[in-house]
Amino acid sequence: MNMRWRKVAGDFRLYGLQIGLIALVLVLGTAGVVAALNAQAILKREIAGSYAMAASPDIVLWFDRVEPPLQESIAKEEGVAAVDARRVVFTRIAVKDGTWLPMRLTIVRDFSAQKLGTVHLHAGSWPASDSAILIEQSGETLIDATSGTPLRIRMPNGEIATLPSAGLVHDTAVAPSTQDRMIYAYATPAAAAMLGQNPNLDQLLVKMKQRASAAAAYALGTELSSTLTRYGTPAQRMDVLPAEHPHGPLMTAMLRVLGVLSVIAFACSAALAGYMVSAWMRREVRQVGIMKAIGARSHQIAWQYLALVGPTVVLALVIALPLGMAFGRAIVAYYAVSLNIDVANGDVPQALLLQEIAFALGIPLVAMILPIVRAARMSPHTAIHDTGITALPGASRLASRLIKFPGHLRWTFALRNSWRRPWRLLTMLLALSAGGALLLMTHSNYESLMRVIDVSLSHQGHDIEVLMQRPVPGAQLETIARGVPGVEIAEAWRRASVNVAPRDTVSVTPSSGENRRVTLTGYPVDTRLFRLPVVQGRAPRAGSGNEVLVTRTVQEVFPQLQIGSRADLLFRDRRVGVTVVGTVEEIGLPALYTDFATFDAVTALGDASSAVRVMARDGRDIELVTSALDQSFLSAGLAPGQIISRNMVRDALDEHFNVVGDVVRMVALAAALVGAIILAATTSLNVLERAREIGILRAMGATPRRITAIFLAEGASITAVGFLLAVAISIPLTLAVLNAAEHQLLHVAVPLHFSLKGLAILSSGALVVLLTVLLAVSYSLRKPVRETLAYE
Amino acid sequence: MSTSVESITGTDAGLPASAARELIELNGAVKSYTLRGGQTCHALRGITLRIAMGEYVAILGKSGSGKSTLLNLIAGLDRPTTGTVRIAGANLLALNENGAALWRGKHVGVVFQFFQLLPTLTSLENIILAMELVGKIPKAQRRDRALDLLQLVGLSDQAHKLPSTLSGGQQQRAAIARALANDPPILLADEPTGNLDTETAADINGLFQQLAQQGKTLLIVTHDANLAQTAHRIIELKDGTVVSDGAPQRVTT
Repeated sequence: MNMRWRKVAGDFRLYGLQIGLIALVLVLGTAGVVAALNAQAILKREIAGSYAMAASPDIVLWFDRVEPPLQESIAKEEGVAAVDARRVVFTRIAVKDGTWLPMRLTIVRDFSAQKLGTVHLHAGSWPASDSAILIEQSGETLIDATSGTPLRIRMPNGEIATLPSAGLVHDTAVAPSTQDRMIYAYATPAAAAMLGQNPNLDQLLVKMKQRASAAAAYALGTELSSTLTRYGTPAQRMDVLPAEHPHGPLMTAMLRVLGVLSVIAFACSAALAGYMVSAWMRREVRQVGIMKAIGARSHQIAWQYLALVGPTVVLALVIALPLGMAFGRAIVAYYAVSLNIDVANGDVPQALLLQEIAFALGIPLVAMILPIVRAARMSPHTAIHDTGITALPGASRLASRLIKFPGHLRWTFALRNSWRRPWRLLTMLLALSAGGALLLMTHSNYESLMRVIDVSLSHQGHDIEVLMQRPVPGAQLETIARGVPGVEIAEAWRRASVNVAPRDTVSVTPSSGENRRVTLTGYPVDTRLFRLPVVQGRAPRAGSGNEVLVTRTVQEVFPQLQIGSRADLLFRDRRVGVTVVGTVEEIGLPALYTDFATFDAVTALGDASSAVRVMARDGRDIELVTSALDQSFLSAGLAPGQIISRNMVRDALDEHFNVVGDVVRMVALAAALVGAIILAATTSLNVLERAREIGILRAMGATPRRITAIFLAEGASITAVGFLLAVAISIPLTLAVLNAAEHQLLHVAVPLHFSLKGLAILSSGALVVLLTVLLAVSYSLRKPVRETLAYE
Repeated sequence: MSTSVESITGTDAGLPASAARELIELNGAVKSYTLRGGQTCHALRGITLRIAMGEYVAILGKSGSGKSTLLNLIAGLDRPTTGTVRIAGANLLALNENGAALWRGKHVGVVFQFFQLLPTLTSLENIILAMELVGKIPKAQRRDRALDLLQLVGLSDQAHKLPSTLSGGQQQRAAIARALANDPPILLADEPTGNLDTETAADINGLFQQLAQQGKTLLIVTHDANLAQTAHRIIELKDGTVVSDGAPQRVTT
């Protein structure tokens, strides 16, 4: 081994700890970015692939009954790639804990010949027999559905049918049962008949050859409807379905954010590695001078130090790559469950992998080469006469001029010192503010959304809604409900699904090009349960004639439906004009509200009510009242289709927010973790590289306590600025997300609620930073002054 | 340098009367270090030394002779392995870390070879900080005193400049002013002219003489023969022991 390599080996022994720390920082940064980018690439591909596997239809046409000849005729139409048929009914099923959950039963003519809306076997027997039903696998935690297990299912007449499970299937087009609080089941027409359901298929599913846009799908659906009308088999209704996974766009956006943040974190880790090398080279300056004095050239010196950092970067990559890939796979696996998708291929694109390797090697090397080259190019005189106290860059000199606390020179000193390394300060502030802002945003968003949901649910006025399987006279429903102990108010409401059609000068078409049906809800004129706030306009007046309230959700779909506008509502073969007199806010599907008179004018359904809304007495357990209502209606021979309590709605919304929340939390956690590492490492580096300065202060008579206070004030000032920046950045970020949630998801005003919990977590992170400073100062103070002042 | 040294620096500030005769007292001071290979290095081998108040002492010796170690022991920056160090009657070994720091701030001013001014503070602020850290000088007097000290060292026009904008000689003068901030009876300097050109070194030398004339006790570690010749007494160290101790004319450097 020649002498230069002996020096390298000696330096490795001497600086083993620093080199280990550099490797650790690079491993964390690289593993994070590899995990995020891999997960992003795999999930983006697999979400689309998985959704495509379900062959979801573009258009659904509704009939009384779909027979094979009708299917065949539509299949021949231009632009149609495939057709299929199904029926979807809602009932209830007994789950593991003995309660009844809503169940969506899809009736499929032949499982082995599915073309659209397909499901595939997860476990059990395939295809399902005519005396068993299949359960969507995401419901496995709620219901024991292993093959052969008897399942208890409500029949329309209120009786309970028992059918065995045929096993589990995977339907990649639906959200998990755990999120929707609904069991998805699949059966043949014969099995459906055993459950008392109408076995006739009523939905004709159409897949387009090429779907350019939702508007194109709407155009084809309209054309098919016209054709069918000409053939004498008019469709009762036409729906255009979205062509992507329900959570696809949101997840793609969130994963992109995760990717960007991980890249920032990686850049910060590379910068930190560079700073550590820079601090190390400051200690080596005199040796550089000595080597130069005995004839070493700049490149020889640079190579000598590169021989130390080069293998460190390679070692970090060798550890980080499999670690990041494993973590990326874990993220994908988690989201495969959360989004209910199939991950057919977990491979990372080779080009991405090569890019990751190139960046993981290149960026840290560049960051570390710069201080090495700078030191290696120093003249021997400058290097040998280095005083050990760094000269100030321009920004720092300016800060020294501007920062002044008259009468408090120690604090002035501390604050000025925070500007000693402007770029390092910038990195620290970036890490703290980015991580902190995300952390705060996550918590503030979640709390704001849940708060608005609670407010919105309280505005609904009722605690429980019982949806009947068929319309029943309202008075009968109210009598049954009012007889249940714990019920304070019971009102039978009327609901019908209507289409909104153009009228006169107002061209009413959905903004998205999709044909969205709207629920028309009728309430009693003396209602005590209609409490939705009218945010614009007024409530319908009794006897004023066909006045309706629209929700903001409706206005998002039909922007033309503003106060004073008129539109026709289509129900079966009826077409009735109504006037929009007010806007209400409500979370949920598009809905119109009106009194019974207008409802009857539109639907002519008379006294037939399909729902009864109930408010429980104060202090009553809602779940107990729910069970009692269920039992009372069953005893009366009226089986409820669904019973939805306020808690169930809240839980379901909570579950949905958690899917997104989990990604954001993961992002925030990653950012906060990397930020904390960067902060802790940088602040301790700031302290350790100023060991000599600490020695000077001690020689001047400063007690350890005073020195610690100076450095703590320095750390605290940086942390405070980062903290304030995090708070300031988090507010517009949170508002942007809430604005998106308001307009695209909830359609109710979502005021910002700043999370104190998030603030507390961020504060605890700030305390960790100060603790790190404290530890680093204590470590430096343990060194004898003689050592800190000695020149190496 | 129009300001009188006497007007801003006392000669026995804060010292007990008993300290007047022998201000610095080392008895059999030994300082040993254990090297990485387990070998023991003896920096000082039983030094016994008395320095009276007002003496101006130059410490000479080759590199590794123990000069800086001796200075560190006297400044309370290091502790002897065996033996005792008493300064102005105080046993430094009996003081804890905080006590030693405060004692040092009040009784000893240290001047370093590389000046070691704090880079983010101006010359004036460097001096005021030293006062603020120790708390000996009343708050109301600190700024005026700092300005007086800067005038004393000929830097009154550089008071508000950062160290990086000062020349080496100016930085060393500012460092001397800082060492005098708390009016310590003892001034220790480790190679104070080692990094300065001849002319500037002579200037600093003059400043030390002026301080000595006013009664400050000065201990200066130096290789500079000119500087050493102006001292009252020269102590020469070799391999951790005193090989000569006397007036300048009797020592060949």
